[in-house]
Parts: sequence; C-alpha cells; structure tokens
Amino acid sequence: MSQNMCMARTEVDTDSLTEVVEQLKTAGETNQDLAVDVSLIAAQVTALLSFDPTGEGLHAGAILTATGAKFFLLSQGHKTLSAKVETARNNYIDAERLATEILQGPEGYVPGLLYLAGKSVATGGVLGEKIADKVPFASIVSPLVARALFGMGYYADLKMNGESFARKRRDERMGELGMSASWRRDVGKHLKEFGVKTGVVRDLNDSSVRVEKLEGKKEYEDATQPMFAVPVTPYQWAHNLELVGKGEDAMDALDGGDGEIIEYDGLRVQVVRDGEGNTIAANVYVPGTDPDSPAYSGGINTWSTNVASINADNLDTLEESTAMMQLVDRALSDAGISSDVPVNLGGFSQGAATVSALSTNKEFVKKYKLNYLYMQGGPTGDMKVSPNIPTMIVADRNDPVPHLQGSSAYPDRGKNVRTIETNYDITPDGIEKFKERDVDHLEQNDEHIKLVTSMPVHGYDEYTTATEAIPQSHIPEQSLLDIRDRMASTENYEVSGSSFAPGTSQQDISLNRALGIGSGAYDVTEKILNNTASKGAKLPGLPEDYSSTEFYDKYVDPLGESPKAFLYTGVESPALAWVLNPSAQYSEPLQASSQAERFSTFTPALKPAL
Amino acid sequence: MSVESVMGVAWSAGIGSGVSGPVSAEVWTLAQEVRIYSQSLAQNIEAFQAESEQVSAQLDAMYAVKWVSDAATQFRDSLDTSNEEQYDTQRSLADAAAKTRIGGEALAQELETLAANIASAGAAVDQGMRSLEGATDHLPDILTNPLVSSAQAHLESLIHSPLISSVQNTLTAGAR
Repeated sequence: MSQNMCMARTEVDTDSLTEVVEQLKTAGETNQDLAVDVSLIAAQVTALLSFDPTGEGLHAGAILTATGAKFFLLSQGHKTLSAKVETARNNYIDAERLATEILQGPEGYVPGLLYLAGKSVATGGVLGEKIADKVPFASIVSPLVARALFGMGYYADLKMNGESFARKRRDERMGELGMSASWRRDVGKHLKEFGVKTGVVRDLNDSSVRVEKLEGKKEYEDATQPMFAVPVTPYQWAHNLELVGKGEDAMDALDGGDGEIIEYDGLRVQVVRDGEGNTIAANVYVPGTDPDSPAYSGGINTWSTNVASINADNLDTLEESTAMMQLVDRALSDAGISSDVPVNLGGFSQGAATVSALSTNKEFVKKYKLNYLYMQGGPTGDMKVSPNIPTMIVADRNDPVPHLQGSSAYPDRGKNVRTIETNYDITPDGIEKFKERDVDHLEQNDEHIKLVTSMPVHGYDEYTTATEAIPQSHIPEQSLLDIRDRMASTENYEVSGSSFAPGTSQQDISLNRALGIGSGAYDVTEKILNNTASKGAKLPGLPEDYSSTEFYDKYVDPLGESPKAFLYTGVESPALAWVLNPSAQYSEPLQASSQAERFSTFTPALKPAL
Repeated sequence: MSVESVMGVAWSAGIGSGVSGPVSAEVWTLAQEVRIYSQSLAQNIEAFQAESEQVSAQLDAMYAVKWVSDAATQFRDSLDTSNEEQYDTQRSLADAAAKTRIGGEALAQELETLAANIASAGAAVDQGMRSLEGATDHLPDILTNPLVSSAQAHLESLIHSPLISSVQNTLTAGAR
C-alpha cells in the first residue's frame, strides 16, 4: 500500500507550488526591470527618430512606451499571482497538517465500504501520501477514511473557494468500484444504510432510556458559571452546550457501573415554567460526538453515527431517523411537552446535525412547536434546515468540521437563518493556546509545519470563548427574551439512552459486531462482483474471466481465517471467523432474534453456506 | 584681383564650398552614427525581447505543476492571460526593433542626402562666383550679386537645418 501511496503524487504537490511561488516572484522582478529599461529606450528611440521621414521610428517609440507600461502591469500581476499561489500552498500544507494531526488522534471506527472508498480516494493524492509517511499502516486506515472521504482536501479547497478535489476523487474512485453515478449522488444515504447494515447504526432501545432530574450542582462540577435558565444569545447557548457536553463526558466515566457494559449517550432538557407552574418552553441541548464511544457499543452519538446523523434530514418519520433524534423525542415526550409549548433546540457538532435533521423531520415538527434552532460547529452544510423557524448557525473560521460537508455559504437557506463566523484564534485564549500548540509543532514536525498560521478549532470551550468575543453574538433573540421574561423557574433533566437493552451481554455485542462486519464485507464484495468496470480486470491469482466463486475462494474466504484483515474496525472476535466459516465450531449460540433477522438479510453469497 | 583670389577670400569667410565641405562631411559622419546607434537600440530591444521570452518559458513550465482543483484551474487561467500578455510584449518588441532599424536607416539616408545637398549647394555658390569672372573682381559686388547670394542663402538654410542640431543633441545625450 505504501508503494501505491508513494507513486501517486498527483493532486497537489506543495513543494512544486513553492517553486512556482519563487518563479512568479522572479518573473515579476524581471518584468519590473524590463518596464524601466523599455521605457528608457522608448524615450531614446523617440528622441532620435522623431525626424525619421518614414514615421516608423516614432511608431516604434510609441510601441515601446506602451510595452513598458505593459511590463509594469505584468510585474504587478505576477507578484499578485505569486501571493495567491503562496496562500494556496499554505492552505494545502495547513490541511495536510490538520489531517495528520487528526489521524494521529483517537482511532475512529469506520467499517468496510468507507475503508475501501477512503483508501481509494486517499491513494490518489498527496494527502494520502504524506499521511502515509507520517503514520504506520495499521493505524492509518479507518481514520483516514472518514477524513479523506469527507474532509481535509475538501477543507483545503473550500478555503480556496473551489470544489473539493477529495470529493471529485471520491466520485472517480467509487465509479471504478462500480458505484453508478446515481449511487454516488446518494452516497450519504447509502453510507447511512451501510451503517445500519453493519450494525454500528441502530435504533434507540426504548428500555435503555434513563431520565434523571438534575439539582443545580450536578450540572457540571467544574463550572464557574451555571447554565443560563433561558439562553438568548449565541454566547449563552454556547456556554450551556459547553456545560452539557462536559457533563456528558463526566457521566461517561460513570458508565459501566453495576456490571453494565453497554454505552449510553445523552442530552439535556430544560423545562421552563411561569409563576403559575405552567410549562412555557423547553430547551434541548444535544452535545457533539462522544469520542470515547466505540463503534459496536450501543452508543448513539459516536464517530460511527456521524454519517447517519448528517443524512437524517427531511425524513417523514422518527422511526426512520437516528437513535439520537429518537431520544430527543423521548425526552420531550417524557417531560410532558405538548404541541403548543415552544421548543428550542441547540446542538454542537454532530448534535448540530441532529438539530438540523429534527427541524425537517415531518413527524417531529408536527408533534412539537419548534421555536428556535441554535447550531454550532456542525457539518450541516448539505443538510436541509427548516425554512421558517428562526435559526442561528455559528461556525468558527478555523473549525474544519463545518467544512466537512457542503458549502459554508449555505446557499439554499432562507431569511430565517443567520450565520455567524467566529474567530477563536484572535481571542486572548486562542492566541495563548496557539502559541503553546505552535511550539509543539515546531519541535515535533517537519519544516512545513512552521508555515502553519492557524490551528483547528473544535471545542465546546473554544466556541464559548469565540462567541463571547464578537459583538454580533450579544444580539438577543426576541422570542427567547419573551420566554425569559415570563420565566419563574426551570428544571434540568439529563436524558440518556443506548441502542442496546440494559443487561446486554458481551457475547451479544460481539455477535452483533461480527454479523455486521460480515454483512458489510459481503455487501462490498457483491458490489465489486457486480461492477462491470472490475469485471475482466486482472486480479492476481485469478483468470481474466473469474467467476464469483473463484473470487470468493481467493479473496473473501481467507479473511475468515485471518481476522487481522479487519484490523481497521478493531475487530478481534472469534465470532467473525464463525460468520465467515459457519461450519467451524463456535461456543456461543445465536440468541437475539433481531440479530438472527439481520443475519437472514445477508447477501445470497452467504446464504447457501448457512 | 582674380576671381580665384576673391573666391579664396570668400571661402575663408565661410562662403560657398569653404563651409559646405566641412559641414557636409560632418553631416555624413552624423548619418553613420545614426545608423550605428539605431542598430544598437534595435539590438537592445531584441535583448529585452529575449528576456521576456525567458519569462514566458518559465510561465509555460508552471502549467505542469501537480495541482488539480478549481483553484488550480483559476491559477492556470490567470497564467494563460498573463502569458498571452507576455507574448504580446515580445511581438511588440520585435515590431519596435524592426521599426527602429527602418527608421534609423531612413534617418541616416536623410542625413546622407542632406550632406550631399549641402555639398551641392556649396558648389553652386562657387559656380556662381566663377560665372562673374571678368565682370567684377570686387568681393562685395560678387557677394551681393543675386546669383551668388541666393545660392549662398540656400546653402545656409541647409546647414542650419534643425534636423542636424536635433540629431546632434540626441546623440550627445544618448549613445555617443
């Protein structure tokens, strides 16, 4: 693989861009010298040949005068172009560094198809190549996928106001994999379906839902400022989301008590009452991705549910939406919020995607009276958002996440949507943090890193700081002011849930994981086998007109003997071997009927083996 | 006093070929200098053209940079526009060099013609004086004779042509 990656330095060669910058500067200087020289000689020719009886000499002088002026304009143009290319080069270097930094972070969990598509995308370009130089193979694959597929190149080109080369390459490579144009257009929807098929995206398990009333001090123990009872400005929403997010992280540490092994993710509901005890509003806070939640854990706000979340907009029912959206519904329902009570939704990152999706879910908007939407740091650029509910979208200019999808300009959005771009880097905290991080980079990384001028921003606290620093952020939302004026008291509820039932065993989880991976692997295999482009392609060890059976025997069956082939998913369960080779002995029988049903939907290639 | 003696005195006083000879030679030399100087200017212009061609070669090489995206397309579009302008300067300089050569040669020939005309005008004055042989040997009479005086006036108008002083000034300020 590393050989492939090193071969294909085809998309952006920042070293060559550096040479172009220098050459353009030199061209600009040469043209500037020529402007002076040609203007001088124009004067000499004009003076000498003014009595030339043919008039050619005077004409020559005029031409030279004009040419001198043109050289001057060219010199300015080349200097400007040089500066633009230099900016582009720095942006690409920035993106490469950002990608590398993220890839070196916590391992993501992205199964089969994402791996194939992402790897194909990444090997075509310098991003993949440079990343491969920096991180070992075993840890590159799964994180690389999500980032390369949705990300870093896209981010870089967006900064240049261009379309994503990563996205274009993704389309090309997926075409080579046999995905039709219409399939590629709906790639998000298919990836969501794939997440469901592989078992990393599951519905909310109703019996898992836990509701706990919070009493003041439990909001977040390190908080110096309590939650705003009714947030009316972006800063106040950002502050509340920060407390909720950090509170969720703190509660994560409590998961696993009493022998419980499933993962819970949660949200916060504020119920607002007037002096007579009537409920006058509900505020819901949906936090961002829980980075510690593994793919097959039951977590409903994980890395693996991201793709589903950003593709859950404009649906008819809550049943077909995500577990987190179902949890919002459950939380409001349990809090007794009726259809005439104003509901305000706030979300960060994946939580922003959840808010955006809820605002266009037909069942949800019919069931509740949405009053206000607040989204910060969300990858929501391609998502539909309500056309009439007052909406605030906040994105920091150095946050890559809002750029992971669509255009930051949100072209199709109505007048009900306001967007604010913050700049954490220029706040006192940002400057201080930048200094610390920059020093680290200078010490740890190669010379390109020294050129980096901004750092990625995607933290709760960074958004609180950034929104506090900009005057626009202090403009209060009138409908929220009205609620605040009537407010007499609030109650805060922590609501959490899982996609597994309480008491689910490790064996059941392992089985779900193995079945999901098996299903996904066969899905991909089928697609490759049905790919007309790949038919007839020369595959090592197979004849040109290989059959499905031959392909299976050569490339799929051996995987069952070597779970290492699925290292990218973190799988180490013997259940995988059982799925791929069911005739072998396996100590745990099938138990959960839903899993058996899932198994029965496997592709025909596997069914005969059962 | 013989006519020859009178003419000797006249030449000494700047009449006839006494003045036209040196001036004609000087203008002839001036023509040669104009020819050389204009050639030199044209060569300089061609050297600038070569420099501009080198810039074009650099710009051409930049197209091959490994960079694919809309931003890269915008870059190449800018490069296209810029390089077309750069080629324009080369065409203009080539044109200007050719015109400088043509203009310089034409001016040199103009000066050579002037030099010849000055020599002829001086000879015409001399011829006028000779034609009065026997009629008078008195210098003032000779000089005021309409035949001589009009020829001398023509000679002086040629000698004081602004073309000569202008070219002399330019060469003094420029390449001499």
